[in-house]
Amino acid sequence: MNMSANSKILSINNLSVSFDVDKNKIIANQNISLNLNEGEVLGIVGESGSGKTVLCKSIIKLLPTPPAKYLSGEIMYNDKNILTLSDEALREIRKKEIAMIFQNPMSSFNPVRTVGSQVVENLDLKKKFSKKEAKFFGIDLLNKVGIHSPETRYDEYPHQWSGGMLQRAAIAMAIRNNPKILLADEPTTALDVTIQAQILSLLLGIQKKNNMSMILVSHDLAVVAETCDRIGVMYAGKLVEIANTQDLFKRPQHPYTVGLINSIPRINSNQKRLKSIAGTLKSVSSHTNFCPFVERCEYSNQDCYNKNVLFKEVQKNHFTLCPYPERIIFNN
Amino acid sequence: MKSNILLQIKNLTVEFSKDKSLFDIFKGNSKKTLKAINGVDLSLSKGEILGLVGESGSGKSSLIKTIVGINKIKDGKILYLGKEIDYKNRKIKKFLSKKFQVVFQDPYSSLNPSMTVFATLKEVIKFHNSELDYKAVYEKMISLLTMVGFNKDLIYRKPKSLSGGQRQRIGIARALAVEPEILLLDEPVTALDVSIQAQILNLLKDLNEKLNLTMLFVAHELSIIEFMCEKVAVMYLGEIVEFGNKNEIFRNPKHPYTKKLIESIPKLPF
Repeated sequence: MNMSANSKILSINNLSVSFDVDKNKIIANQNISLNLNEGEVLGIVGESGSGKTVLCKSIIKLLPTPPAKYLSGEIMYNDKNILTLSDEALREIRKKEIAMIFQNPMSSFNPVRTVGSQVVENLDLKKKFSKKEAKFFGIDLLNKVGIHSPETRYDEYPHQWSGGMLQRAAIAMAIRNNPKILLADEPTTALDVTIQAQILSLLLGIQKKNNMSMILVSHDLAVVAETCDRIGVMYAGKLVEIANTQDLFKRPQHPYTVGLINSIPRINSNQKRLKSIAGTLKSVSSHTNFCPFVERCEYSNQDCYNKNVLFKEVQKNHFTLCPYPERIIFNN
Repeated sequence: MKSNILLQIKNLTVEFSKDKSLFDIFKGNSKKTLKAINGVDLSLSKGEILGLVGESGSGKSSLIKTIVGINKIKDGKILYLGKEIDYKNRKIKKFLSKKFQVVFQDPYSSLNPSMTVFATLKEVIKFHNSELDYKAVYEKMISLLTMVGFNKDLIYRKPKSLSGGQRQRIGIARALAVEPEILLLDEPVTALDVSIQAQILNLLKDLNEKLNLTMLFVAHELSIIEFMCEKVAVMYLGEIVEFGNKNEIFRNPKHPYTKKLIESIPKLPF
């Protein structure tokens, strides 16, 4: 993995996003800073409501404003701030540079149009494909993502396809213009375990072949552990820890990460009980300076509330929001 | 130890009729059917947690629905304590709901949104113990809520102001209010977050130990089954393809589908 500064392809600086819901303000992302390197697979984990999807959608400015509101920060791609680009320029980026795959393949297709026509819909228009050429290209794409007999499948409708196949088609749609960055928002959550393994290996294969950068969002720690080079952990809208996969699992430096790792049942370990995290995730309505996990944290004390926490590097390339990572007891 | 067997399913087959296309109607094709459950044999002993895994569409939920009498049986029978359950009998419903209780997958849609926690539980308790007065009902409710770890200050709330984990606890409390013999759990933690999932799994395990409660635990995640159950049945396309102790199945899977299933579990790197 190349970690030098000039291989950076996307950088998010101090991003904050809020939503206005029923006169209440909810802060979905709070002061998030992270970099994505070229050819890297970055995993983002967290519970529902922790702001993973909001972060992903912000990267291509897909959130409707209002109710969403970009409070601060910038997202730099090719020396341009995505948040200030014109609609025209954004469309170009979404088409060619940064693509996204969504969680539910069933709802990401138009049910009254054939799958094939949707897969080739947005082929780079400057190339001016004829309908025949487009179909040829589309069949080739479907073949690449492992659809059997794509010639006959091309003219079928989404309801005739299974969830796994539709997710493959969604991947074909995302990679048709060879994007530099692929945002995969829980691409396998709606699928069965055996299909999940297939889709993940397909995604990784394409990522390697095209040397794409990828952000993989998931709530399943095991999925990101198997696929990603680096993992960021989100909690209540804040990025609480980010590190290389190995380091994160060997020496987690934030109590929430420790809690997550401990609360997953493991095969062949003969656990009697799971160590769960007490309490539940609450949505955040105002900017806070202290760690968002403090109420549920077993290591926290009064100091944690007074401390103005910063994202700090505890080891090389290992950042945490916890002001007292030395308190954490983690044995494995 | 034959007397220990609570529930026995023998050669059970359940069919659903498929939609006929226009083509079928013109051609006069007879009914199209889909075998959701195909010749399933299963038995459940007192106090055990039996795990049932399989992918979506393999018939796991259909099996649970058949046990509580929602689906019609095409062939085979279900025995409770050695006696066949007569699902055609109209009076069987009260018996079924007294003996078997289901906890559903989605805690958001399985509770009545217009009823408070108090009303939800009162309805169930009153139905099965009509002689109880208000005070006794209330006391029973509080003891149930303590058992499932639900804060009793929240009993006048409606589901919309409860979190997913809290709702699932109410779902479990509602099932336990009947004091059932068997708890049928249809993917009880799939809709919950990892940290909440661990809380609910611990709770279910405690209930099994404390009350010696028998459970049929349906899930599609093998790691959860491995943690919860002693015996595991693997379902594939309506049939049980493998059945045995969890150690046997996880260490030495015999059926190719089970092998594939175990291979495809994502693992943590330690």
